[in-house]
Amino acid sequence: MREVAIAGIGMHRFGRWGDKTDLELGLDASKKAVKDAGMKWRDIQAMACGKFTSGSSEGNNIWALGGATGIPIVNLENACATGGSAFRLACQWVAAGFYDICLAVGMDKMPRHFITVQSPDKDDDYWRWRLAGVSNPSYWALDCNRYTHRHGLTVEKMTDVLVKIAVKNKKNGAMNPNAWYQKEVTPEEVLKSPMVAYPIRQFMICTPDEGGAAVVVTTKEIAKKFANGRPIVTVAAYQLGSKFYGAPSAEVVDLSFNPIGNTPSVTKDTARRAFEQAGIGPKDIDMVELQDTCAWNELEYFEEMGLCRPGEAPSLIEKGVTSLGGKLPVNPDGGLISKGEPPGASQLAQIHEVVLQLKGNAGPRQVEGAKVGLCHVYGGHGNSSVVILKK
Amino acid sequence: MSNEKKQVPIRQELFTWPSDKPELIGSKCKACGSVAFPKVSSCRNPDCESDAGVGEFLLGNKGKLDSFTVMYYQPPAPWQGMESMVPFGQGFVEMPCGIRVVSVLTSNEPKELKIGRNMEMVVEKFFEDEEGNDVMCYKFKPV
Repeated sequence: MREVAIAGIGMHRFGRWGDKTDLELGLDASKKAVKDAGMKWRDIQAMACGKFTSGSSEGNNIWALGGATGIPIVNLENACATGGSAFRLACQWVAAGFYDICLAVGMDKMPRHFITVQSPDKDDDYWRWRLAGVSNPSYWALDCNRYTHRHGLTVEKMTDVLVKIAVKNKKNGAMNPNAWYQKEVTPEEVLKSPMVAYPIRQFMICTPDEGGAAVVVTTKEIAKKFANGRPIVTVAAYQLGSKFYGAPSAEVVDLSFNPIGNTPSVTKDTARRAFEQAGIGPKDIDMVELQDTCAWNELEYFEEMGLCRPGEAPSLIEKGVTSLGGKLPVNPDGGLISKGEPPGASQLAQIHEVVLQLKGNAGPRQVEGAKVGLCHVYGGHGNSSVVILKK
Repeated sequence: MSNEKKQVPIRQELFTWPSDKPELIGSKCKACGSVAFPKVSSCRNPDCESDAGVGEFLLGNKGKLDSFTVMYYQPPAPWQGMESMVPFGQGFVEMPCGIRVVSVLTSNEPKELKIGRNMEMVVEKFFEDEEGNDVMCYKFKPV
């Protein structure tokens, strides 16, 4: 397998964009990524396009808007791991030698409010709403309260930690011109925001929104040629996982679960495989972008990926370990809490941030000396993607 | 009386109904014994290679609270629960066979919803359908 490198990155700011179509968001990000690579539109040999909300061959539409060149295009959907799946496919094409230069793009215009049923079939996603009204935040809160109980914490203590995470991510987002929300909040404002699913409040939760992001991947050799002596970022791992029968808790959409032995969570297993592919361990990571669909998830996935010992995350977060300037900053771009989430673009935007950070181009939110960064997403049906990037 | 108000279950073969002591209906693999809820037509255990099939399996009506939350917003469709239900408790309830089911809870008071406490299933009205029938679904109640 050939080593894969990032040639270019592009992003359309996340937020609400009125009449602007998702094709325009994807096209904008794609053009920026090709330009950032120092390449021409015709240099792209294949394209993977991710979009969560229903559509048809959206990647082909984007490519036609920019100038159709007859390249192979694959359109895909994988819940919150949609963008990550497009990225992984492009990496696999380059690694296997099918193509030398590929574009991964993703975009979405998400409806407001809770993300609800996507499929026309009466599947688990239909029945979880119909029978129990379990929203995505409900699943997160159920896992959060179990953790609080198991680790002998009080709900007040857990709430303090969740507030700290929300305040941190909004503070980071205020320094990110691509974030939707670029405004700091106080702990009091978080605590005054409406309760959604006990103990999780509105300002602790990410909002579905609109945006696009794109990445050009190529071989290490070609990336070096186009970099003209500037540092390049390589892709050390690109892993995708889905839920296990016997998993320790419900995935979003499940109506029941049946824990068996030491069956891992999908995040734990996908991260394990990513570390294995990269040939490094959690201690080698300098910064993390992860799926903070709510503040609790940041704590949960930090532990599940082995970035600390089980039960240790609350005290590390309170000590500022995951804040900018801490030992292992998490979501320096503000995370989903500040950016919002268009699932097609989500992980591509994480990669955008890590590339900026590793190249030292992250401005006021720069993680000093960052050499290795990890990106993690998790979503409905247990789709999870973990990417590790290295300078 | 033809216009008499009927109580209809929200989904067929989900819980025994009508019944004074309704139970959740799941399925159990005839070979490996794996239990599923709601019932499925074939075994979901990836290590089970048998073609023996699954049979109906009653999960009972008692369990333990594995975790809980309280939902403060009216969920979107296809939820049709009455607005008067909000805020309502939601939980994972561990049934005697080990499976945890997702359920609405009768209580929305965190002080009552202690993890590990005993829970009992009840069937209550969620909403009224177009014909004026009461549409019934399971909930779990702290005991």
